[in-house]
Amino acid sequence: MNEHNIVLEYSYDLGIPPIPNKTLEGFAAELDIVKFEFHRTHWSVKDVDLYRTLLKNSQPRRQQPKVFQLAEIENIEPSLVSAMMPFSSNFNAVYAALKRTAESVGLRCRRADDIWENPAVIQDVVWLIDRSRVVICDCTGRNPKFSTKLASRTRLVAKSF
Amino acid sequence: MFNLLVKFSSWIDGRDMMPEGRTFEATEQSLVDRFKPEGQLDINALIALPLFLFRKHLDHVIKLPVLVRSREQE
Repeated sequence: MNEHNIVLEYSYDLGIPPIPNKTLEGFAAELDIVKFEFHRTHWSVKDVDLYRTLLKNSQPRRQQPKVFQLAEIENIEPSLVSAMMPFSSNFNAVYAALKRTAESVGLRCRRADDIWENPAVIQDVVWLIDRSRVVICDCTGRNPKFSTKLASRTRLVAKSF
Repeated sequence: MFNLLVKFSSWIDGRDMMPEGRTFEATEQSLVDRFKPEGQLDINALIALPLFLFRKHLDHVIKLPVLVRSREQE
């Protein structure tokens, strides 16, 4: 007796890197895949956001710098803007303007002195930059060579995105 | 939401089959009711979901295909 089959036609998305089964096993529970499913021919439908889960779990661990720490998994807050400027009251008006502008478009602007999550200020600065969607740097007072270097770095970062 | 298809042997590139008797295993009843109303597979609704194919061997590498067409075959 012939078994009733479902014929499937599919094409592979070459933009998504292959995932080793061993890696998948590590986060199978998040995909609602139970152990026996790895060992049985079947077709299941799962009520889980596949791409979000794969993205979350396939990100390579970040290289940890020695001087400060980064979160193991990058977690950018979509509404967070960080303002980088010298620690001087001369820049308070600039910061206030940035905050108002950010809030007018539904964003939150923060400066490192707004937060106190770590004993070292540099760590608060790093965490703020790491979590921000936008980083605004006020380079007032720096020499032209610094501005040129910063511009070249910024272009490199933008290019890598 | 996504389709999960697991097979003992390798998936043939581009076109393969799954026994109908193995559909909707390890699937919540609410999803079965949604995608197999009155006992008939809603192929169009299933095709709209992402597809995740893999072989049961641990050393296998999983790729994500896009399901472009599906039909029942006697």
